[in-house]
Amino acid sequence: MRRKIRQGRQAANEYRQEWLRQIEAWREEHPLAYDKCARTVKPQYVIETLSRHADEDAIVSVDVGQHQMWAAQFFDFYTPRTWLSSSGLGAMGYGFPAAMGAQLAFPNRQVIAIVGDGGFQMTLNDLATVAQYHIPVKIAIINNHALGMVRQWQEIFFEKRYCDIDLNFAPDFAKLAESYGIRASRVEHRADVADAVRDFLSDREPRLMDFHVDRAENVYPIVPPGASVSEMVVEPPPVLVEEESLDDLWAV
Amino acid sequence: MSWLPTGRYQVPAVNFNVDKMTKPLTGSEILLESLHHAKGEVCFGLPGGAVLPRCDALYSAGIRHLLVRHEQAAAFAADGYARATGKPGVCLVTSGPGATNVITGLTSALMDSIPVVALSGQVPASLIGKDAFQEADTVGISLPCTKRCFLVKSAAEIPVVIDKAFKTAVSGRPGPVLVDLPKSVLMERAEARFPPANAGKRAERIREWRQEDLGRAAEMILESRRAVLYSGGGTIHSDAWNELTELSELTHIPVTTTLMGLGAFPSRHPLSLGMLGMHGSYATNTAICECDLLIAVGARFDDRVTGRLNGFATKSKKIQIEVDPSEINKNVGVDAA
Repeated sequence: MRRKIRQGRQAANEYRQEWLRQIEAWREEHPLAYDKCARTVKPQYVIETLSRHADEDAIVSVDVGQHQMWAAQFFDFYTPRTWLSSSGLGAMGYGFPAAMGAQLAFPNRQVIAIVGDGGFQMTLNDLATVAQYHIPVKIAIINNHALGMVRQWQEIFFEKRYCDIDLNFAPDFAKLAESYGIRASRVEHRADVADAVRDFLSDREPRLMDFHVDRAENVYPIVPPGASVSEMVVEPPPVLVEEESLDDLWAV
Repeated sequence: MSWLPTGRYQVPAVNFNVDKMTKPLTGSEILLESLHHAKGEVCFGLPGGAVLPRCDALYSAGIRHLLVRHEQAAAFAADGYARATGKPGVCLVTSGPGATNVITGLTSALMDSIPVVALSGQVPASLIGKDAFQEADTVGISLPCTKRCFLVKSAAEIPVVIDKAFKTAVSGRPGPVLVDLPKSVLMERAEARFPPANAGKRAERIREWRQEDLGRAAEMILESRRAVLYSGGGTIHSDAWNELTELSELTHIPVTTTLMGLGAFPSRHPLSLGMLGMHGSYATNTAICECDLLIAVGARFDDRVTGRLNGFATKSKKIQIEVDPSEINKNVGVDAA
């Protein structure tokens, strides 16, 4: 068997190189991408920037929804046990408390909770716990003022009949955190993201950063529910008419 | 750990004396000593009437207890602790609403195979079934969302139950365990006998490879031209990431991970394909469609990974490396396991 394996490996490796070249060609055809020239704060850009400035052994904890998928796509992982996500159940509200738990286990490592504005509102009462025990978790809110993944599905699969996704009536998260005695700020402009992230990750204090991101951004590629993997939609369809303002749509 | 709780939270552990084998202790004291034996260091929780005896013992026991503001956060924090360390995360809650509030966290831990030990208070044994204040059928509720759950009936059995709970949470395919502790059990005194660390290790059904299957899998790998390794959370739970990387580099087979599997294989590795499934990249999902051999490692063919089942990796043979026998052929039929 061993000899057979050794001989087989020689031949197999040539096929393998061909296969890897083929995958590379697919990757070049449709890379994971977003509009890098956009004037708005693209959520993927925030995640990429966090990834670039985070420690290699930083622990990342996420909630459930669009930001979770962007984090999975655009955050670079180097070691195991650095990614905490309620994956099977998909329980919103998981990210922030899980980050506290991980920080208790590793007081000296960077622990970043990347959460959405929806999920964070489910468990943000534990800001008091962070303040009480001075747990130095970093809370990055990817704030699109909506239940973004539901909005995306309504947009793509329910002909933009938006319903129950409006999270405009949220507190000012930075002010809220400050009322607990936690340093916090808000980022609304693309040009401020890099500096804000560097500052955010620079100390060993609990911090909150509220990133107001592009409200219309969607997660791509997507395999529509019930479809096979080969039927994935790689890019958003081209916009034919001028988009109505999402704010107007939700005002109903 | 400069930022850790100060003051009463750092009171050194009570020395439960050399004659602890004979001196009667309260159920709460036995519980805390059992937690020491199980190496539970931190617990997340929120007190209430039914667990007041336990809180009283905690006060002097030196176990770091973090007061959360909602029990769901206690379960999630214990889960985060467990995912980051691989050790069981512990949460302590009271009866009734305290217990029902951790159910979401336990279900999440069960779905993702995370070792969480939840200790819930219960009304005194004499009141169980009488619709007492803050009573809930916690064991009944948690049966379908834990790997195992226990109702403790006497203080004397606490050491054995806690020992079992911690071992069950981490052994085989890990998962959450709940221990329901009536107030009367926490208050009564008993002579506690603590099982030695290596005792009662439960033999779980773990799937082992048979020699002939192994040979067949090796042949399938040798014959394949377009193989893909598909790695899930199981690779992380079983500390098998080095073996995964070794297999990938030895065979030049690229690795895609599930959402649960992120981190097991470095994102920047030249053989890394990133995440697959509903929001996987075009290249990764196309590779899954076109591959002639798919090797699943600690992954359970979740519907968010496979999409419509009869369209998933139809051109490939499949090998499944998995500790839990019930996962073999569950969603997708495999050729070797």
